[in-house]
Amino acid sequence: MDMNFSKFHRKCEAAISKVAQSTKKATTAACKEIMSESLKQVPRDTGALASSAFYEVKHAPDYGFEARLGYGRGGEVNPKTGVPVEEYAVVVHEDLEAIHPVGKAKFLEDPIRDFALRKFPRTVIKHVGPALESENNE
Amino acid sequence: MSDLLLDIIEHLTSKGLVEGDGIDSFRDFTPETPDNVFVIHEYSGSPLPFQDTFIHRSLQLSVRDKSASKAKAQCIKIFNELSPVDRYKILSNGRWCQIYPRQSPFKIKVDDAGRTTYGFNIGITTERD
Repeated sequence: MDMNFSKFHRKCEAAISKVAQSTKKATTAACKEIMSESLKQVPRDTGALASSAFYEVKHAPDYGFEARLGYGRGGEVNPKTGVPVEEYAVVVHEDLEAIHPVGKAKFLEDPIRDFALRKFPRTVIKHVGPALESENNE
Repeated sequence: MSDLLLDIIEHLTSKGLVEGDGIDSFRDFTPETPDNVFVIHEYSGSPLPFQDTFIHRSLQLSVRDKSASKAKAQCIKIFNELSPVDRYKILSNGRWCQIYPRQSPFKIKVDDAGRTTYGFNIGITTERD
């Protein structure tokens, strides 16, 4: 029996390429949603900590995309104390006994965990699903 | 089962890692004295999993000491006791736990009195209190 897998192979390659691009969209959407929620929870006094929020999406070493998100980038300095945000962001995040008039500790961890538990599958389906769907219809 | 936080303190006491609840170990608050303390805080947990016999909770464990190196060393000892490679842990009172460290011990802060706090966070799936 002689079988030609070249067409099947091409379809696989195309599907992988489309899924890869969709993964970037899904990862970016996840970052946006997490940071949006995080910025609602971050303690605010001068606003320096909130202003230092960031996320970045880049190619993972092996495949797909990976994201980094957090606070303390951009050289933000607290105007009241003169202390760079990167030096106190961890304390604000981890000190569970500190009282904040606005916001709370765990302002990044909680949104990430909440997203992972409740919203991750929906985001993947929304962004990666159509790519697979279109490939199946071709 | 009693309170999870108390169960952990009693487990660590049985291992000789802390002196005991209310002596050098505290739950959900950090006293001003003594200087050298172990504290467990509970923060937001997770929705009930599919099998609600067990629940998933989030804990922060921290060690404060006048000596930064002692705080770090003590924190690492506690971390090692509570982070078995296979995740499963039976506490000294028989409580079953599955423990997921969220990171290794790190420096949280140095307070105005010069005391250093090291800590780590864990997710823990366990029986209800």
